[in-house]
Amino acid sequence: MRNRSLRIFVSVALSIVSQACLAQLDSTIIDKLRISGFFENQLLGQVQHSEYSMTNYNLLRLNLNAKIDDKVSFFGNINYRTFHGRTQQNTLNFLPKRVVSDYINELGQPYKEVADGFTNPLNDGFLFDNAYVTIYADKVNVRIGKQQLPWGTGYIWNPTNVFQARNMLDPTYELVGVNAVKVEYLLSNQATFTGVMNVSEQFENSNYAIKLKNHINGFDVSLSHVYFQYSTTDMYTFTELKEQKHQIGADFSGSIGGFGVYGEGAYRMDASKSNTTDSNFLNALVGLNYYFPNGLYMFGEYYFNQNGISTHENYNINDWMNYLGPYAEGLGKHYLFYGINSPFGTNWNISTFLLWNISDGSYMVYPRVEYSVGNNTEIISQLFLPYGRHYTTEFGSGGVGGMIRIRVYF
Amino acid sequence: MNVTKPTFVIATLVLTALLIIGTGLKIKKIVSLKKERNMKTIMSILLMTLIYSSNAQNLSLDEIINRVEKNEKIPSSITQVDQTIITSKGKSRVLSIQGFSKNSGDDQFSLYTGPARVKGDKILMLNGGDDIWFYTPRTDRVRHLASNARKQKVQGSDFSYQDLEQRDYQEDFSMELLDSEVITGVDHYIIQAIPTDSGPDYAKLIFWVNKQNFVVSKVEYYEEQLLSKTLYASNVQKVEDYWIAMKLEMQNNESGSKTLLETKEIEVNIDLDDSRFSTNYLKRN
Repeated sequence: MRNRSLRIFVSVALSIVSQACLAQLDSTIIDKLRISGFFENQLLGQVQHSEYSMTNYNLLRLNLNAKIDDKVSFFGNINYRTFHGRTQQNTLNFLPKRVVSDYINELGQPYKEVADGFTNPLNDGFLFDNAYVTIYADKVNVRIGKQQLPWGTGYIWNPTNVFQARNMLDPTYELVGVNAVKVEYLLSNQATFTGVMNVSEQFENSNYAIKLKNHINGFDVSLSHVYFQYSTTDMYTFTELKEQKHQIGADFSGSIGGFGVYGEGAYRMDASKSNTTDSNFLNALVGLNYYFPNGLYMFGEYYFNQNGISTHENYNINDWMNYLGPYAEGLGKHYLFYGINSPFGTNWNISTFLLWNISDGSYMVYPRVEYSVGNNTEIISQLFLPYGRHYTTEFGSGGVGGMIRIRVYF
Repeated sequence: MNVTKPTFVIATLVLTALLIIGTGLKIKKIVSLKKERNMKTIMSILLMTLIYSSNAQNLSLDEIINRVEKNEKIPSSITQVDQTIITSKGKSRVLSIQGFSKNSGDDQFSLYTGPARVKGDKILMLNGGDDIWFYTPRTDRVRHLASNARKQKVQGSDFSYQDLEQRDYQEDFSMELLDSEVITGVDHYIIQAIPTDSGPDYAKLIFWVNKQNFVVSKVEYYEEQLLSKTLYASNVQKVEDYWIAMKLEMQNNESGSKTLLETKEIEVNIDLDDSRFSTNYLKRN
C-alpha cells in the first residue's frame, strides 16, 4: 500500500516536473526551433555486365534550425534511409573487367573469394548530414560540429577541397558534412580569414586548413593551405599506406566579357619524411559559363590532374580504389565537362551533361529532366549513357542506367 | 511631339472657361455672398490645378527623371514581398521574400522565406547589380554569378536580376521624351530609354511616368524590335516621402506567363548594418 502511494506520488511529481519543464522548453527552445526537411524516393536501374539491377531508397530528412539568440544558432539534420531492391553493391562490378581479371590473376585466388572483400551493404539507418553550433561575435564566427566545407569554385571538381568530394554525376546533391571546428575572422565585409581543424581520433592526426578570401576588382579570390593525412591500402599486399600532404591552393571566380570564368589550382606536396618528393603533383581546373537571353545556360570545365593516369592500359586496382576514395578527384590526367541547361516554362528544366576522360577516350552522357509538380515537389529523372572501350576504360566500364527521384519539401 | 503644346491648349481652354463664368456672373449680379465665396474657392482650385499642370508638363526630361529617382532611390528599406509566378496555363506558385536594400538601392539582399523548397536561398546584389551572388543552403555554397547572368530569371520568375536592379537613369540610359498619354485617367510622360553599356541588356525600354506622383506606372522591355515583357505598377502608396508602387506585374509576352511582386510590408530609412550586404553574411543562418 505504501509502495503504491509512493509510486503514485512519484508519478504525479514527475508529471508535474515534466509538464513544467515542457512549458519552460516551450517558451524557450521550441519557440525558436524551426523544423523543415524533405522526403525523397529514388529508383536507380542499371545494366552492368549484362546484368540488370534496381536499387530503391526512401529518405526522410528533418532539418532542425534554432536561433538560440543573436549570438548563437544551431542547425542539424537527421536522415533516415531505407534501401530496397539490390542492397549489396560490389565495387568490382563497377571496375573495368581487364583491371579485375589482372587483379584476380595477380592474387591467384578464386574470383568469389576476392569479390567477397569488395561487397558493400547498403544498410538502413540514421545519419547526421550536419549538426553544428555557430557562435557569432563581432568579427569572429565559430562553427563547431558536422558541417559543409564547400571550398573551391568548380562545379564538378574542387582541387582545393580535400574535405568533401562531390558525386560527378550529381554534383548539386547534398553532401555528408565534415566534423570540424571552423573559425572565420572577418577582415572586412568581403574579406575573410578562415581556419579549420578537421578532428581526428588523435590530435596529431587531425587535418588543418587556412584560407584567405577577398573580392578584388569584381573577382572572388582565395588562397589556401591545407595539411591533411589519410590512409590507403595496397590491394596487392594489403598493407596500409599513410599519406601526409601539404597543399597550397588558390581559386577565383568572376566575369570577363560577359562570360563567367572561374578556376582552382592546388599543389600537393608530400609531408612525410619517408616518401620521395616525386609524389608532389598539381590539380587544376578552369571553367567558363554563359547565359543566353532565352534562358539557355552553357558551362564547361577542364580539369588537369598531374597524378592521373595517361592511358587506360596502365590502370590497376590501386588506382581505382584510390579514385573511389575521398582524396582523389580523377582517375585520368585530363578531363572535360560540358553542360547545357534550359528552363522550359516555369516548371520544366532540361539539361544534358558530358563528362569526358580525355586520357582514356571514354565519356558519359547524362541528360536530366527536372519537373516542379507544385511549390514544394520536384521530380528528377536522369539517364546514364556511357561510351568507351568496355573492358578497359573509366566510363566504358560503367553500365547504362537511369534514375528517377521524387522529393517533397515541407 | 512637344509636350508644351497640349499644356497651352488646356491652359487656354481653362482660362477661357473662367473668363466666361466670371463675366457671366458679373453681368447677372445675382450671386449671393456665399455663392461668391464658393466660386472663389472653385476658381482658386482651378487656377492651382492649371499652375500645377502647367508646371508638371513643362518639366524637362532631367527634371522628370530627378523626380522619378527621388521616389525610387530610397536610402534604405526592409520589405516583405510575395512573388506569385503564374504560368501561361494559369498554374501559380508563391514565394515569400524578405528584402533589404541600402545605398539608395545599389546594394540589395534578398532572403527567400518560403515555400520550403527555396527557403533559405539568398541573393546578394552589390554595386547596382554589377556583382551578384546566390547562396543555397542545400549545398551551403555561394556562387558568384557571371555578369551576363543578370539576364537570367530570378527563381523561375519573369523578373530577371537586371529588372530588379536599382536603375541609375542618367548613367544607364540614353533617354528621349516621346509623348504624353492618359492611362486609367492619369496623364503620363512617355520616355524612351536606350540602355548604355552600364544599363540592362535590352534593345530599348519605354517608361510611362505618372505626371502626378512621378511613379513609373508601366515599362515595356524590347529585345531587338520585339516587345518581350511589360511591367505594370499599381497600388501606389506614399510611404514617408516616397511614392511606392506596392504591386508590380511583369507580363512575359513571349511565354505568356506573368509574375506579381506584391509588397506586403515596407519600412524605409532603416539603419541597416553594412555587414548584411556582404558575402560573409550569406552563409549566416
